[in-house]
Amino acid sequence: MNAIELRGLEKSYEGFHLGPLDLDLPAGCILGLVGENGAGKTTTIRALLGIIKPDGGEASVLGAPVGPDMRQAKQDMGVVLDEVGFPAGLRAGQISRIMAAAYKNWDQSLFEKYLRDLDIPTDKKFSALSRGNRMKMGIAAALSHDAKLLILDEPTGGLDPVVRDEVVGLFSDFTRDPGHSILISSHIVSDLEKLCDYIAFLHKGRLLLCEEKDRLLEEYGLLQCDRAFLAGLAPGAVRSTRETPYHIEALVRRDAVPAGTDVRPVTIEELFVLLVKGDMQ
Amino acid sequence: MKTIWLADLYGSRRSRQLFTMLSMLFMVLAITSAATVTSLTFALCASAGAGMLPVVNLEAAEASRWDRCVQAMPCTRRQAVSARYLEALAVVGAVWAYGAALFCGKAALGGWTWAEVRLLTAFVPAAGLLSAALCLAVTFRMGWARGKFVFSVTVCVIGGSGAVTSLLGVSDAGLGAFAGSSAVLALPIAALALFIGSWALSVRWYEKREL
Repeated sequence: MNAIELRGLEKSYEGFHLGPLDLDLPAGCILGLVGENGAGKTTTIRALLGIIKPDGGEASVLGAPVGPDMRQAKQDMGVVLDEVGFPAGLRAGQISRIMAAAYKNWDQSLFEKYLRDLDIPTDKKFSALSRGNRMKMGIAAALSHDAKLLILDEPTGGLDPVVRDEVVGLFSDFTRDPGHSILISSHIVSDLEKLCDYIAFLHKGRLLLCEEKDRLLEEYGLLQCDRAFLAGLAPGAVRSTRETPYHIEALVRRDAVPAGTDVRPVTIEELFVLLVKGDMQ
Repeated sequence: MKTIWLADLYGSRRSRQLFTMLSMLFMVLAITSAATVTSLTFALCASAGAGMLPVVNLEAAEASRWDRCVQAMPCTRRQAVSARYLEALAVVGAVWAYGAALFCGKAALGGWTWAEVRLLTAFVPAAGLLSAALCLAVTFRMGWARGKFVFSVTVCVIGGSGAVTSLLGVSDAGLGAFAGSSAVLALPIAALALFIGSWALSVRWYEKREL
């Protein structure tokens, strides 16, 4: 069963078109949405939550079609939006009470534990918290009602590296339960590389590719060579190239280059940059 | 729905205090005024102003992005709309009850006739429900960015209601005649019908709106 399914999802704004997008998040897995600003990550997440209405296509979350009444499915979803929007004047205790009114499985003691672990001030109004602390509050709330699916839009934005590492650890712990899944979007590709089973690259509203992370890293490599060597490679071996002052850097399929060629492992960040910025072959 | 009520309750402490204070003040001014027209004007200010409290809550929700956050939680848009309309009913009901108690007290002491009390107690909920119906519907339809213009105009109309009544040539004698007619009882019923219509439209509009 898939925790999330998108089929031909489309949404248009002035000067921007998302999709058609087909995407699956298998239950028990973590899918990372990678893309530059304005690639369509937040639009995809908002469409999944019913915050915006898609122009076309279908979407379902935890088996429920996305629509005006997703209350049951949302009981099992923990969501952190790019701007965590609790009412400005509320303190942690009041936030806990309003969340308890919304979620059947709200666990106040677990929420308090996250507040302590993440070092979030409980005596300050939400509006007086730093951006990082607001984000941590949102993460603590999303993790405190026994959700089966986390939908996270840039959850590590604004966090310092130490806290980011801690938060990534919390997400990893969450997926120890085989029924738990995460959809996460982030600019910080290194976080996604640590965490994700699947990576989806969005660029200008189009899905460039969506594959298992390990397979991507296994399948692709970086080759530094000159133009003549590149021309001699089999058609389809090169996915993208980038010219530097000294050589050409090519993203290649490992199985399509001659044996013995020095192909360096590629990171997800390099893969993304080459797919977006490089010359597509 | 309870989530939205609680959030509004915790979040609107200051505006709630301000609205309560103003409503109480205007009601006291209403019962201490000599002319019925002036009393009516102050009573309308108290009620119509109180009807705006849920609009202020809605504005705060938009500003803090709580409106969007709620939609990521197990709450429907219908519930988000209904919560604010029920808040308006509760607030206007409270102002009406407070006003009615004051009016009855003054009538019992011989300060007013019961016809005047009937008139005032009919106008008070009508004004509150109408101001809430208008401002909530516009804000749910277009958001606070545009809804604030209607809100401001409504506040100006409430503030200038004394001038409006004198411009319209409303006199104590005219009000007395109206108070005696059965039309006065139709006023709150008509306002309630408009309020319900406004709620239905708001649900429809808000379900279509992109946040």
